[in-house]
Amino acid sequence: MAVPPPDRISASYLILFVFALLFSASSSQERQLTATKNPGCNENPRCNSSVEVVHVRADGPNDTMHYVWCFHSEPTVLVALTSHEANLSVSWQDFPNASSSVSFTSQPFYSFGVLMSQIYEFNDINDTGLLDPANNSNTYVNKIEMPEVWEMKMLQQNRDFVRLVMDGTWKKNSTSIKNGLIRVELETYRSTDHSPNLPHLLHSSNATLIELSIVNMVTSSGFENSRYAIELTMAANESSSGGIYSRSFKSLDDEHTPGVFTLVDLQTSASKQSGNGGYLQWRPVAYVADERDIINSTETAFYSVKNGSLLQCEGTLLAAFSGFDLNTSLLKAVNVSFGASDDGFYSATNKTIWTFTMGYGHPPDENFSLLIILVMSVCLGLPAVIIVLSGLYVALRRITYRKDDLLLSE
Amino acid sequence: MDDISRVDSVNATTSEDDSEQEQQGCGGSSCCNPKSCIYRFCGLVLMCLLGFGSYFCYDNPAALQDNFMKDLNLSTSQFVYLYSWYSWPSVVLCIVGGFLMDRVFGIRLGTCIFALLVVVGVTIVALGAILNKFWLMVAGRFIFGIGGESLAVAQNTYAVLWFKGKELNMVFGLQMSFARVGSTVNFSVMEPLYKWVSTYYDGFTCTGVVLFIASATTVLSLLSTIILAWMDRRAERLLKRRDNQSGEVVRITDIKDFPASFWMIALVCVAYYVAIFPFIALGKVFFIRKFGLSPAEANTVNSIVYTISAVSSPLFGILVDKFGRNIVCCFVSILVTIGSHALLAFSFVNPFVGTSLMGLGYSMLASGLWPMTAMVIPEHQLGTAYGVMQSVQNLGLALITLLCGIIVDNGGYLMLEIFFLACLCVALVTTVVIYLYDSSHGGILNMSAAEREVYEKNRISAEDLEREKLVAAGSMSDITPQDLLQPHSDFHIRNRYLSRIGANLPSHYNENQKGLAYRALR
Repeated sequence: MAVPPPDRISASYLILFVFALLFSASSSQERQLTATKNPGCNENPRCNSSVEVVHVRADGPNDTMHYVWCFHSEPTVLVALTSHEANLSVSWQDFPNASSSVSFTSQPFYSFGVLMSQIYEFNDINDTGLLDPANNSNTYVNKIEMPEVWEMKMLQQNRDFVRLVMDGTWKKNSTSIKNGLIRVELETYRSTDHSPNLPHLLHSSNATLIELSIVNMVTSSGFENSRYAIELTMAANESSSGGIYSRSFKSLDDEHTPGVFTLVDLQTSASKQSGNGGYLQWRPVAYVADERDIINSTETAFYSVKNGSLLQCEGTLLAAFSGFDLNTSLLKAVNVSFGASDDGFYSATNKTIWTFTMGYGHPPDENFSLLIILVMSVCLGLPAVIIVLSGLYVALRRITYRKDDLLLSE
Repeated sequence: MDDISRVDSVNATTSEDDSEQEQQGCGGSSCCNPKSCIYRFCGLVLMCLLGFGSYFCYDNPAALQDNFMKDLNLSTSQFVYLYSWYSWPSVVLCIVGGFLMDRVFGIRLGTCIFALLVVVGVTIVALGAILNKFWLMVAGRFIFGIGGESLAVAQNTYAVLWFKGKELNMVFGLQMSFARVGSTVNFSVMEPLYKWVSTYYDGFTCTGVVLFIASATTVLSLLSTIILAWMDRRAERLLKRRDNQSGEVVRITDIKDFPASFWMIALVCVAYYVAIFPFIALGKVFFIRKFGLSPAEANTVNSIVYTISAVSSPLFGILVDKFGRNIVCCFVSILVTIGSHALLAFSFVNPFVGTSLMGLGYSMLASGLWPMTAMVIPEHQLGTAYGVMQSVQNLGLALITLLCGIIVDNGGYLMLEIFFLACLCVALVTTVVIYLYDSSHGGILNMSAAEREVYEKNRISAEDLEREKLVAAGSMSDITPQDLLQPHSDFHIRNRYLSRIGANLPSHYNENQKGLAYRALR
């Protein structure tokens, strides 16, 4: 028989495994992470009381990625690719109101920023799970500004990742009193991998993972069936004629995010054409409880990309950063809504958690994992072999029986 | 396989005048003649009704889940108890039920007892709801489980007794579709019924009253078991049929001597059904997320498996009755199911196609697989055998359903589909092994219908011949008249020979003693 001995089988699997490891390691580079709180802000008194900017330097073999996480007014994330020498400089007296108060010591090759500009609460009377962008009546949609007060819950840094957790609440004396909590969790990683928590998004070493939790919101009076949506505003130092391209790609594989087969990419034209622009990527799933599983999940939907509003960017990192002039460079916005029909609306659990990645390059593609391929080949291949062999056996036996018959008849 | 025989026993002649009288008394019309199709058809209707009540009541809590949880103030995990207390005990009690039916009660009394247990259980559940005592409801579900699952075993045994060698496959198919009808009717009727009752009562009393009304269906089933018992007794007397012609008695240790083919049939049963029921339970989200269906559409796609099987299983049964070759039928149906799962897992083709195929495969298997047990197990052990099969199936389903939940949450639906495909491959390989095993042991399972008839005739005449030879062989000193009335297996003759030459037999080999020891229980 041509069946190899058992040790040779395991050896061949081992070789396969090692190849896969090598392949996955060589396909992306690793970066060294260094995080700084409020960089360069030693004397200014306001940096002592609160954290407004966290700067993460990620040094790779050829270049450096900078992630600037800013929580002054609306949460903003900036990704910039520079040479090794460049460093972040913030002029704290002017920040964030003067433009160019945040810059790099040498001009970045590329920069891309995302701003969580606004939250919408909408009254989904027909239980469609979708936001109607045309309906602006105040009985249907309620625009909520992002929280004013941001408190740092955690800043964790080690060799493999940097994690920042911020909780945002509304001031009690503000004109539109809002009760509830917005939590934003930002992570960046040394190397390419799936994130440890569901939805296990695939991130490269050129990306920041952003998790938005909308917790215990008191829904507006008169809104029976409240759902929430968020507006993301994106800016990049590309020509404003380029635009942002969305792609919703469905695959057979839901191994990493059980029950979710779709992957959504938003790419700037530079990312789409040559792979050196900014992108956003997410799975259209939101979790409605801390215990993340299929039962506690609902869907998300995104809407067509629109032009971003300069007004929304005022006083944020996007306006303060010298890397792009918002009047001439790419400035777009997209809405993402959370919920699906039949899920009991936001009030069922009073929690929505949604995760996306933003980064530089081409958004990573998911492939069948080695585990799936192994399981598939063992579970389906083995029985197929057995059936073919037993078919051969039956055929052979038939033939020999016929010979016996011939002998007997003679 | 060697001890079923349909030889008319000599003492049956005494009742001949009796039967003629009865036939005359009935006007000799065909409805009353147990040999006629109409008599059997009436039996079939009763056999189907017999399971209706328990299938109807089984899913009562699911049909009224929201009302249940609100009125009785239950948590989801408490609600699940209503099902787990039904299904876990039945994993063991099916065997016990089947065995008791074979050994102590006989099929008629056994069926009536099980049906009565169902009525009692369901009534206790309703009572528990009216009194708002959750433990009482759980206890009721437990009793219901004991009765309901054993009743399913009894239903199978009845079918074999009445229809073996005739329309057995069709009957199995029909029974299955009727069970489906029972649970479907439950889902569509209970909600309006609750609404109607809630105009008079509210809260837990309302739930209780609704359950009481629902329990009427089990009384209907009890009535049909009683009529069926009467019909069966009459048919037995008139046709001089005896359930247990060989005088052999089943023992619980016989289970270990069941032929290998039986165990392989049970394995196919488990490996196949785990790829159907847990899939349907988890399918809704899969259809919504992967194929973009609305929740209502996803429910339709999900239920199409049952809808199709309800229509097509009797039809497939008729086909199998006509052509025989049960193993080929099983093989094809497993292949079809593999195709349907592969379609769902590895393509974006509309899931209607996949689930419709699955419904076809599922109904074809049900009509082909269950009757095979009756061909490899002698009639006096049949209740036990179906009990074992049901138990194995329940156990497998209970465990694998838990496992499937874990697989989906950690590996996703693709992994789950691969798992189902692997289970089906196990079933497929086992079918091939059954074919190989069976063809080297006479090959009854894969005979065509015509070959099977010839085979049965030959076997009966061979047994007749054996008996005559024994009588003619002289040396009658130790043969009692009782012995002559009974056919003898090889085993029996060998033992007689051994004891004559003075060999010491182990005590359990002594058939006379065995007969005596169990007589008291009959």
